[in-house]
Amino acid sequence: MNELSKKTYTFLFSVLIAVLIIAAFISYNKVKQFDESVKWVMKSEEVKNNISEVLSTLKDAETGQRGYLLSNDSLFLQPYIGAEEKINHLLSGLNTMVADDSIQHTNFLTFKKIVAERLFLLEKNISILSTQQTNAVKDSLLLKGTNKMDEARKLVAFMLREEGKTLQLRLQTKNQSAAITPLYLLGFSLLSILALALLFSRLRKETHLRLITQQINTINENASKRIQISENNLRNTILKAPVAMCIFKEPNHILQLANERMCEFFGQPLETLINKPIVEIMPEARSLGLEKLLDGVYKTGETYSAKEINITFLRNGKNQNFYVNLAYEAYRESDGIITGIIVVLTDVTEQVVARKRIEDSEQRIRLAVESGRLGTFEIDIVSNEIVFSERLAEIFGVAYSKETSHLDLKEALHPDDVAARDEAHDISLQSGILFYEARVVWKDGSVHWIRINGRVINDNNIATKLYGTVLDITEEKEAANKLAAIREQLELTLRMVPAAIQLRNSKGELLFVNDEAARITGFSSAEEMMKEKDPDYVYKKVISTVEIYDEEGNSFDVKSAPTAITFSTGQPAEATFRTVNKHTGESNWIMSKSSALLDDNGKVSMVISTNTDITQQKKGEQELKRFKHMADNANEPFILMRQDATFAYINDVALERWGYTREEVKHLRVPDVDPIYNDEVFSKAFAMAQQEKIPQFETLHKKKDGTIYPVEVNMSGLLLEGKPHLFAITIDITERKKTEEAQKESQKKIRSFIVQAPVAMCLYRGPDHIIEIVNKELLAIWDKPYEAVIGKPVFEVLPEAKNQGLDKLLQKVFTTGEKFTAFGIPIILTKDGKPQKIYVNLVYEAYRETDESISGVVEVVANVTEQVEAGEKIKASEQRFAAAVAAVQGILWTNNAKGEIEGEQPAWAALTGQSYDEYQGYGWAKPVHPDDAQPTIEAWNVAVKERKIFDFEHRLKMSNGQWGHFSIRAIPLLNTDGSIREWVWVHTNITQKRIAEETLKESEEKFRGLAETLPHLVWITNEKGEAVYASSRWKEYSGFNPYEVGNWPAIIHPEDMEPMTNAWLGSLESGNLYHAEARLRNKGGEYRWHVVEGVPLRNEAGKISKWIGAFTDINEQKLKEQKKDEFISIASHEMKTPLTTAKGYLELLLLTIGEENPTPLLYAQKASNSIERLHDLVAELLDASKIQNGKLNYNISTFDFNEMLDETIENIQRGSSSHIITKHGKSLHTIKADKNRLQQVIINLLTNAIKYSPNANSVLVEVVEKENVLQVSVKDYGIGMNKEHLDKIFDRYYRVQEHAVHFQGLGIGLYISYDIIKRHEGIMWAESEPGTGSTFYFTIPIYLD
Amino acid sequence: MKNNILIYDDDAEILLLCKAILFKYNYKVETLSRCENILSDIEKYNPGLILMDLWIPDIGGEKAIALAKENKNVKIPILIFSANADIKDISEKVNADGYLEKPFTINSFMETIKHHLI
Repeated sequence: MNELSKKTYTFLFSVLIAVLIIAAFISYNKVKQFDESVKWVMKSEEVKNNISEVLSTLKDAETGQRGYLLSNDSLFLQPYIGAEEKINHLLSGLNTMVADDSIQHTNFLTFKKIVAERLFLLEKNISILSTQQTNAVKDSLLLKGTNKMDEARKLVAFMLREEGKTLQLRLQTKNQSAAITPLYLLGFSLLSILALALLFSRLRKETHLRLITQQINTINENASKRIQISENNLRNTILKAPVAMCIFKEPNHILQLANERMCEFFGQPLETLINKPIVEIMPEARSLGLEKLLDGVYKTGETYSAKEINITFLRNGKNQNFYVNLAYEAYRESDGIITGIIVVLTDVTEQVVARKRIEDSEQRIRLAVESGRLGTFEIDIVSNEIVFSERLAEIFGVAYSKETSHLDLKEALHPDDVAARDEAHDISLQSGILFYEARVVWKDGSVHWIRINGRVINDNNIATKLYGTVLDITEEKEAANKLAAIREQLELTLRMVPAAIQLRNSKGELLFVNDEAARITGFSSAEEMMKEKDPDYVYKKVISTVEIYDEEGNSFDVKSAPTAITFSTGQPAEATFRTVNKHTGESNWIMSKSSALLDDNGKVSMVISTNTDITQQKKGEQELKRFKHMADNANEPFILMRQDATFAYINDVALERWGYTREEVKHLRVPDVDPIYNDEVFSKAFAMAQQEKIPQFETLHKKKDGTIYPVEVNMSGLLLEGKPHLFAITIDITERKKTEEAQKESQKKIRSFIVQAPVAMCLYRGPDHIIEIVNKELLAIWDKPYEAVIGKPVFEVLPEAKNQGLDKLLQKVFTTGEKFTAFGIPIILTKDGKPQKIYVNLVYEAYRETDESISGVVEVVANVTEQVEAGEKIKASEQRFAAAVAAVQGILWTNNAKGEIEGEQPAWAALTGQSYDEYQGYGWAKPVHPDDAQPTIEAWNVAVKERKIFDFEHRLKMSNGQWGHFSIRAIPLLNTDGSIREWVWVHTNITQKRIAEETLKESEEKFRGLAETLPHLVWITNEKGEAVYASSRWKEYSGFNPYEVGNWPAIIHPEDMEPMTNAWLGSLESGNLYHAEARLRNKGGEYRWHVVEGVPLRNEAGKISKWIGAFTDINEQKLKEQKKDEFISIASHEMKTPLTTAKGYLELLLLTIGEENPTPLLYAQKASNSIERLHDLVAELLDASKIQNGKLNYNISTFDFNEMLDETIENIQRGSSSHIITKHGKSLHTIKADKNRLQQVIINLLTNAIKYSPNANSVLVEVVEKENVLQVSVKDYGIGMNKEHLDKIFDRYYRVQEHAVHFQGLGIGLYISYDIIKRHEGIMWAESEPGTGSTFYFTIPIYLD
Repeated sequence: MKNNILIYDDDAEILLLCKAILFKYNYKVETLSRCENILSDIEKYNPGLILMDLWIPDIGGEKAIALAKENKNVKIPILIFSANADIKDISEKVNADGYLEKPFTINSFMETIKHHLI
């Protein structure tokens, strides 16, 4: 090589080297670039794989969850467990990978969120399943999950597409690099002639490419492996599933895979089934509609599930019945497209059949139990919830419904028995046995006895359930109670008869005495008198206490009293005498009667004597009512009617309203203006108003022009001038009626709609959402009784609903009127004190009035929560009836359709003592009492023939050899063809009841025997007032049987019938003592006066069970009183005539004598004064007699009391020079009263004050006005009187004994004054100290209107 | 003003007393002890006032007053004259023009007569 060439070569070489270096550099860069682009491609692939794997894992987890939800088998949860961790790991890798790609990073974030939500849903669904939920809820949850999954799938597809695009770009870059780099290298290699470089570069390129391909292949291999794993997971899941599962693919449902259980179900091996469409595998699928269901799932992707469907299909050439739980689930490819259906099927035939069988047996046992007329119950001791039978509700007298709680039953118990019941329950927790007897009080107030038997069931040594029975033992108990009542009845009758009663035996010893007899005889009580056996002692006690006079006023010897006469003669005797108490001076007229009970030999065995106090006066007439002041200022029609229905008074308002003139009204009667109040109705109302207050009522009034309008009437009776009147205030209510009608109509429509609606509905009214109408369905959801919610704001009733935001929703509907609808929303409501979650469909809709204003909200609710699982119920049912049978009262045994016993009947053997052989066949009939055997057989044959329940009673020889009374009930259990399968018998021992009934009957007869010996007419009625007993004296007296209501008018005097009936009806209603006087007609046609008194007898619940009473003959004293009054009336009139002439002539004499003859004038004056006093006495006597007969008339007027008082004082002052009368105070108002009568009272008080204070010289009159009352007092400083006299001074003819000598007069003045003040609705009383003087007070009411 | 008075009463003593008083005050008095011919009596005596006892033969004071009041030509005031305690009520019931209660003071007797006399 030359220098040049060397130089050139060197240059060239240098150039070459340089070119090489440059080429190498560029190549290095390109190669590096290429290497990076390859890495990018790998990364994109990895991203795609990663996303797919996340989706795949998620899908596995979901499939697992679905399998779990449908089959409830935790094996399915395997793919789900750990899925979250795996997904989180994959996602964190993915996050780094897409960090530099902003679009994919955004997608990634969304993806991550969806995946997290899906995972959350899975977790929630699985946890909800563990709390039992309905299929609907499950379906809704699954649907939500499926939707979320679809969302994920869509996003993944998008992300994969994005990543695919990136990969495309990167592959392009990579390919470009791959293409350009070798060109560069080749070019430069050519230039540098160094083939090695080219070779090297090629070699390098080759190496790289191989590596890349290898890596890409690995990546692809991994991806398909993962898909394969996912497919295999599903396959394995199906094959290993503990329930029948299979997959159908394609629209015509070709079986792709099925596990062994499914093949078993199809009845063929997998090989013959695979790749066949459903209709070929199971031809019934089409007719049963299964194919249609599959089509639906395939199209929509919505899961279908159903429980306990009854399927019949051909198996081994036979039709076989199956019950299955079924679920169809769409099978989706990774891109979300549905390609098939997963079928899950569980055979529940055995379960269902078992349950049905138990239900049948339950029915049979229930029949047996109820044949004993027993109520049954079952208490959950932990929750205190109770389930009970209809018969139990009947016994307890409560409603047979779910709303009736354990507490309701407890509350039905008699309050006195609750403690015993609680104790029995406490003991039952220890002993396992519940037994007690108690009373229940029904809503109608009746009391019933019950006997409770029960058994406690333990679970792991903890008492969980209480099963028991209830028997009504009222009859048994009542018999015993009646016995006690009879005794009480007799004693009450004797105590109540308004007379003193004594019963003595033949020796004269007391057997019975009532309080009245003890009192008259001088003992403090009946008990004290009963202590004394010696008849002589009683006699001495009597004569030491009272002085006794006969009717003529001669001394009367007790030894000749009727009792003594009856003792000696055995004949009835009677006498009337007067007693004066030696200590108190009290005087009584006594009518004494006695009669004897004779023994078989005609000797006296018992004497009954009665002493009736006949001094008692008839009560005065009703107080005179005031009337005028009410009429004066009335704004409403004001009407006063007479008994004959004419109008005594009508105010102007009423005239105007009716359109009549005052003149026209005079000829009108009530029926003319009131079409309802015809003569009959009016006279009834009139009579009633005189007796009692009439409540406000509505009627119709007719105007003169014929218009009829409704009115509201307030009415009451009153006495005016001694005659009964009726006054009424009426208010026109036409407008009010119209409004009420319109409102009622509209209310009625909405009410009937809501009440009849088949869904839960209610109407809330007003801004407070008051529950106005609510139907049963909604009350059931709320678990509240109607009374507890109606008329209350809904959120006060359901405070928990407010916390859940329902108040805002409701308020919004109420204010805006926009309808609110929600489906399947959870609501927590309190049930039995515990919060319970239910799911409801809910609608709130505004309720508008006719004017479109919103006045309320209508709510519609559908409860979509399912019932409790069936399995647990079956278990409970078995236990319940085992316990019920153990608790059955009486003896339960069975025999066959012909009535023969077959096999062992231990209960029967224990009852009768018969051996096994003895009672087989018809052997059981042997212990039946011979007298009862034939009737039993006859009745039994009828029952067998008619296949009806056999009810009978007969006697049986029991194992102890004694006869027992039994009530029998036998119930036929029928086969499906209607023939009798067997008879279930219950023998209940009623011996005790029978004995009690017998005793009761005897005792009742004893009572009647005693009542028959009484001289009174004794009667007993039931609580309604219907006669149940009348002593035979009735018939003796009247000749009629008073039991028959029709006989009453023949016995009672027509004039006494109405007041007597009214008094009786009044007592029946009020429960107060019945007292009346009436004339009763005797056999001879003579009417005799009787007084009747009756008292109610109450049962334990305080309710009246009967009335006992007696009529007592008071004719004699009644007639005597009448005659006396008549005599006084005529006598006083006749006396007045000579008085008039005497008085007149004396006056003429006084005028004639003149002042100049003082002595004759004085004599004439004295005579005149005596005549004046004689006149006053005659007038007083007449007044007293009139008060007696209630005939004293009053003349009410308005007057100035002060003026009257001053005038009276002045008059008295003028006649008395010995005393100065001073007056203090005055009346501030005019008063309404009888002026003359009041004056009479004041004169009486003033003259008394002067008369009884002979040694004093002043009398003080004081007038004070207190709250609506005018009080007048007259004070003297005279002799005064003792306390014992104070109470009696107002009695007729009463005069303080020690004063009688000094002071003249009949002593009836105070009696008259007292009556006058009483008739003015005032009070009169006196205060006195012996030696210092007396003060007499009286009050008169002031009417300020 | 008339000054003759017709008095019906079956008690001769009462009639005598009334005559004594009324003569003292210069009135003319006719007395009768039966009342059934009241209409002809009125025609005969043409009195300025009638006092009528209640319990009087033959038809009783009540009916007699009714007879007189039925006849529209009779304008003479009639007073019930009785010892009956309920005289005021009875006088209203029988449509009498007033009453005179027995016994009476001369003062009240004369006041009442002057008040009613036509």
